[in-house]
Amino acid sequence: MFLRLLRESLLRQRRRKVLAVAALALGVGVTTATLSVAVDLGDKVARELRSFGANILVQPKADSLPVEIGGVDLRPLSEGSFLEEDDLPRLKSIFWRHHILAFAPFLYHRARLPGRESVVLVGTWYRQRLSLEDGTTFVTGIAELNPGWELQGSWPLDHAQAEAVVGAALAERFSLRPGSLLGLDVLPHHSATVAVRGILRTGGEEDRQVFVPLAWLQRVANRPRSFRRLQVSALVSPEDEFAQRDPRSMTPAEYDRWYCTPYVSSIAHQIEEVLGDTEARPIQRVAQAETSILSRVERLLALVSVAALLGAVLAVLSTMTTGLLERRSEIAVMKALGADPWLLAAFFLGEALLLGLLGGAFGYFGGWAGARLIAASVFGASITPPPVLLPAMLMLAVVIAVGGTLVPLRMVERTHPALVLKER
Amino acid sequence: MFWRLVWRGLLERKSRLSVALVALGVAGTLSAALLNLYLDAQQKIRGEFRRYGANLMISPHASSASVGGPPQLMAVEVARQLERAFPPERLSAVVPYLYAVVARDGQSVVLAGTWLDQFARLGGFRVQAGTPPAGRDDTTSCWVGGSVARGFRVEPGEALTLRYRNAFHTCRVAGVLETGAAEDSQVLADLRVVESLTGEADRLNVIVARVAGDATVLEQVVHQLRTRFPSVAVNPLRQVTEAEFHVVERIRWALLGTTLVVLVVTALCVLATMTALAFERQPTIGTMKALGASHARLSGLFVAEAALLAVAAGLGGFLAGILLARWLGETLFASSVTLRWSTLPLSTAITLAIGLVGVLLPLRLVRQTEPAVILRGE
Repeated sequence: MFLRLLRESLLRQRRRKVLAVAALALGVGVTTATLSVAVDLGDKVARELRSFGANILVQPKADSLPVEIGGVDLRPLSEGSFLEEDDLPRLKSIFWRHHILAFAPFLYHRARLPGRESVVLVGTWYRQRLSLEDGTTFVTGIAELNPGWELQGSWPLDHAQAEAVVGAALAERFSLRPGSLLGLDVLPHHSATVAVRGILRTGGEEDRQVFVPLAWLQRVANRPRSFRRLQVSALVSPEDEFAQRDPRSMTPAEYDRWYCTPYVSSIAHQIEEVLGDTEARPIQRVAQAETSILSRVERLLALVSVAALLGAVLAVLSTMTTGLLERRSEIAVMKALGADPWLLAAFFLGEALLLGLLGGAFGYFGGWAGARLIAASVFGASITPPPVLLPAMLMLAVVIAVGGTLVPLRMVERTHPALVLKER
Repeated sequence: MFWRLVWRGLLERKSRLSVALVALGVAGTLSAALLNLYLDAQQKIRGEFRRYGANLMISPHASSASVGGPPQLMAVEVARQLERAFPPERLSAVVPYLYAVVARDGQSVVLAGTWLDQFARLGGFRVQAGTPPAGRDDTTSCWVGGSVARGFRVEPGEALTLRYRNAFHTCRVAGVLETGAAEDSQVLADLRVVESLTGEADRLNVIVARVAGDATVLEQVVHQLRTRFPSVAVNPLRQVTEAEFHVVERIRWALLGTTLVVLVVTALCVLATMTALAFERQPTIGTMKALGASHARLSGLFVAEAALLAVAAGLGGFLAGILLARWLGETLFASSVTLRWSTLPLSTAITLAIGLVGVLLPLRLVRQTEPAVILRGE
């Protein structure tokens, strides 16, 4: 009898049922779409911030103190320690390897330009293809490290040929263009002619440097397979108070938590572990800015999702409430015929449960489609909502549907059936 | 008579109308809160980008690329004029640098002279030990970078004696600063210390500065500086401002999009409630029509009812929204959100529009109601 009542009730008055399911689907859809876009947007912003360049600097531990002014190291050429180029693929084997977006090694050397003027030669990778231990290749170098850099011309290939990218200030003084040739005296005694492929303008010290392939500089400077400095760009979580603590003072449980969170400090620590005898330090300026921007953006997006959720819940609640209030006379008839209050409640709540599941499912997939559409049109990217969202959204829909039925049901139950029936 | 009808209509159906009122109230609250936040969040997030440090570099012209010979310097006057000519809202930090390679016990280190108050204002360092730099008259203190502190084994409070050719300077280490950049291997002191040590009075290697504002403001300031100081090279660090633009743009979309979504959803909710109400009132409408009420008069009744509800909800919602925005501002940005009364008309208008959209279907119903059919009880 109960099930027949339920079935009849669901099949009759289709308009009202469709309205309720539509309202539920809309509410859940809006929430799904907002949540997926918000979660994804935080990630997009984090990646956007990475276009500022490296946030971790790695140097040899045993290095003597660099004597550096405006990007020019004044130490004698033979002084200081070096890092091994062959160790670099290990960077992609740390715990947070997928958060290492790019890195580039740097070797510095001095050279004289025509007119006996000194210049800093920077040997680095432009866009090196690196074979990793797991058989995949990883493309990295300064072009990947600094996607925001303004380059006129193109990045040369990473081979041992003398192809250079010249800073804009130098290019202006010597009227260099992509395609020009530049004669250099590489100290102490080596003359070379490099082909200029690109002109780089950053506004910083790079404007006065000459970039050459690392392999070429290693050969002419007689520093095989070695480099001086490593810049790493890692995707990080905002640093909180916990991240600021000294890992040596942590309990084992705290240490595990710190190690397994992509803080800039824990990633730097993991880099030191695989490279050995190095010091990896967060570049504070970048790390601090990233932390404060990301944490605010994350909180803002959480707020935005809650606002959308609230609006959706309210809309669904009001539809359900209105729907039930319309059936007051039906309830009154049932009560007048002697229906048990429990049976009444079970009947309406069962109906709400089914409607909730149906509306939730429709809403989830509708919202997913909506989120993809928004992401593609506004941000030009594809997204996938987190999988936990489906059960969560179904649950939400059921809770709202049941909640939206429960409150008015109690209201109606309190009214005497005779009073309700007289209204007709 | 008209207003009495409106009034009675509102009072008679409290439970139903309260649903509509709550929906409208939430629309008003959320639109007021999100509008206030929308106007403020952009500015607040943009403000956080200042932590990236300088976005402007001023240096002598490119011929100073020489490494071996004496580097070209520029006048301190440039920095002084910058500081004087631009208000802090425009140029939030001007940090001049004069460098000297000094020695401590035979080991070379770079000594950087700067205006310590401006250095602190630009930020981008972490104080590992001791106190942060402040003030501009402190010629007895110096700050050492993290690598220097480890290399020289010095701690805050100790004295540090530096030699430049035949001159000596002794300062008290006031703190250890960590930047993760070149400053880690430098000693930082007041500009005048380096000037007197090297004898390079009124000369600078470089000035880094932070322009507050977006890319257009930066371009303007760069242009102004280039005309004003033709003898130096003024270079903007563009990548900071570009990424800033992208991030702020995305946040704008997210906030605006959510506000719209919330408004549409609440509008649908109000529409559903008002339609249900109108269905319920069909007998009343039939009776009134039978008594000779015109379409216009009946429609006016519904519209007036919805408008009253909407304005009440809009005003109440605005107050609640302002409180919400203030609370959110404090938890989100740890600073109060500037409350704009100018958003009051806008958020009330939005609520009113939603209320009026809500009576669209009921109005059609009024037109379609045939008094005879309704009153016969069908």
